[in-house]
Amino acid sequence: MAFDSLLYLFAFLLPVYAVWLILPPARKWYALLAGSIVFYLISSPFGAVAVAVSAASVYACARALSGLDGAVSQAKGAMPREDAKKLKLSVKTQKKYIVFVCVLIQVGLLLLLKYFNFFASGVNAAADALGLITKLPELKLAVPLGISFYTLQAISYVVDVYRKAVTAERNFAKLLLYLIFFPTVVEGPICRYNESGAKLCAESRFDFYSFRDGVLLMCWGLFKKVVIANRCNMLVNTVFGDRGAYSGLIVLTAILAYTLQLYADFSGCIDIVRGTARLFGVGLPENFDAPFFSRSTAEFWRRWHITLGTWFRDYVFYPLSLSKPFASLRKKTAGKGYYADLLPTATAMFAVWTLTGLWHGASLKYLVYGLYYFAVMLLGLLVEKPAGKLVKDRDAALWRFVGVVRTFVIVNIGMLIFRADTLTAAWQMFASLFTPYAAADISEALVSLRLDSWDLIIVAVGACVMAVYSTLKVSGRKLPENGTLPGGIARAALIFVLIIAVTLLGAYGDNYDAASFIYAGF
Amino acid sequence: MDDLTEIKSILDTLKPGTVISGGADLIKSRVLDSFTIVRLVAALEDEFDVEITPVDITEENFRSADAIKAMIDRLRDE
Repeated sequence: MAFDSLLYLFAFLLPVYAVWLILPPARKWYALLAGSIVFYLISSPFGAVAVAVSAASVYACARALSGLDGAVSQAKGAMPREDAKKLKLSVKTQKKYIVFVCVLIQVGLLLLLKYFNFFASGVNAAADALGLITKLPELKLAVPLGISFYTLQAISYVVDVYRKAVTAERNFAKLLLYLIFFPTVVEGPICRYNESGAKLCAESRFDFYSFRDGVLLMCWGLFKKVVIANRCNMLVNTVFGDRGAYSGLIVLTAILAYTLQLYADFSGCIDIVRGTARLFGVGLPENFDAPFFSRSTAEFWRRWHITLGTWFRDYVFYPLSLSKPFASLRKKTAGKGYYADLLPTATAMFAVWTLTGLWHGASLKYLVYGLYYFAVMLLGLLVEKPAGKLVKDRDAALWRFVGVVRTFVIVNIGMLIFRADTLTAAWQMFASLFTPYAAADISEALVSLRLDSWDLIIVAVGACVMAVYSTLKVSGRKLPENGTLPGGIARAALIFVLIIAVTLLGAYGDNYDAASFIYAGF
Repeated sequence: MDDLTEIKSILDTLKPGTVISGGADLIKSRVLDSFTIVRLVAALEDEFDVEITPVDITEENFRSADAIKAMIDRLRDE
């Protein structure tokens, strides 16, 4: 059930909202839970079994962790300091086992349901090379909806309980709602329990301002998805689907169009998600912060898919970097110069980017996509010191501009790897960028794609509107979604304009393929 | 050298030339990114003989030299 479909908006969201309005404040979350269960069962009936197993294990482990912490607190006051210390150490070990088992279950389910065939094909290829007859079978398993997003939320919750950053939820139904809240389960944002868990189940009342801002945000997301992303989709699909048929100019246009499409699609979806949650009075974290204004690749990833980046930082990068083996490595490299000092960081970065790449999908190209960013960022760290000596004022306007352009180019190459069907295809398309350009090619191609100049104008204007919005955001202006646009009339007018734009300019009908949200596939 | 001066000295070694006052927001001003935080944690652990775990790495604890000092004091008491 796509978030931009009439089915979702009118046959699902509207009834859920109506029930939410009717229920008393303390029980409004029942509507969200029932809606989330129905949404999941409709969208991924077989996946629901895996989610139930996962949720039950997360609940049980978190309760066990909480029980151990409670027992230590009670016993501590009644025993000598030395005994209390021993008990604390023993409980710490038990807690580590529990959290390890829980993470193993979550990762195990993810590996089995999403990655088994990928690893099996690798093992079978190796077996072929060694002349072995025994092979791993190819499993036909249904990948549960949003399992990549769901798993990260489940792990963050149990680790946060282990770290005592949050209190374990006593009510299984409330935990289940946090894990499968229908707007976030498909494409995120990846929420932490302390960000959305309590808010979802808190006593709540209808608030006109939340409703208005939620509708506005949803309309903005629909505009990005239906007017811009869907319009780019046909050009992108056609060129990437027949890579040998097009010259450099069209390939370049398709790569740029894909970057625009992915941003409009994913950030548009997140706007719809955050707008939906706001209707129910729930604020969700931002996932994008004007990423194309970034001056470095590291900054880009702090502004693009923010909740994924912070998840890997908090649950992989920091724990790895601060672990005993890494501390020992740091001691060995300490004092041996800038480059030796980078080794522990580079090793942790390698792990993070390998996992980030594979998180996107069970394919070699996603692994290369992750390693591409690892290589770029490592290069950035390696040249940082000499570059610092060469460029004295990095905040100068020219240097800032160079940084933004350089990052944009790097990101577009990444997008090419991300979108191409295979690595070979990505390489062929990259090579074709250096073939002669002919302006006539593009008009011929547009005709063959059934796109006309009107489509190009709409995409260009849409992209400009998004760019203006991002510029205002970067400049620190207060924007409508932050609830600070003066006057209700201006907001109402904006909602009206967006609805008209989506209705009249939306890319649907005979000429366009209905495109699914891209990240829903992960 | 008192603790606060020592913390400022460590910060200055990691990010030379950065002017760090006791109340400056080190996270928002991007003086501290995740790479620098890891190196800072290692230096703080060595200097003050405390164990800093991932759960301690929060914006509140690393916002300023004062905040880092408060975290060190708390970890020493534990």
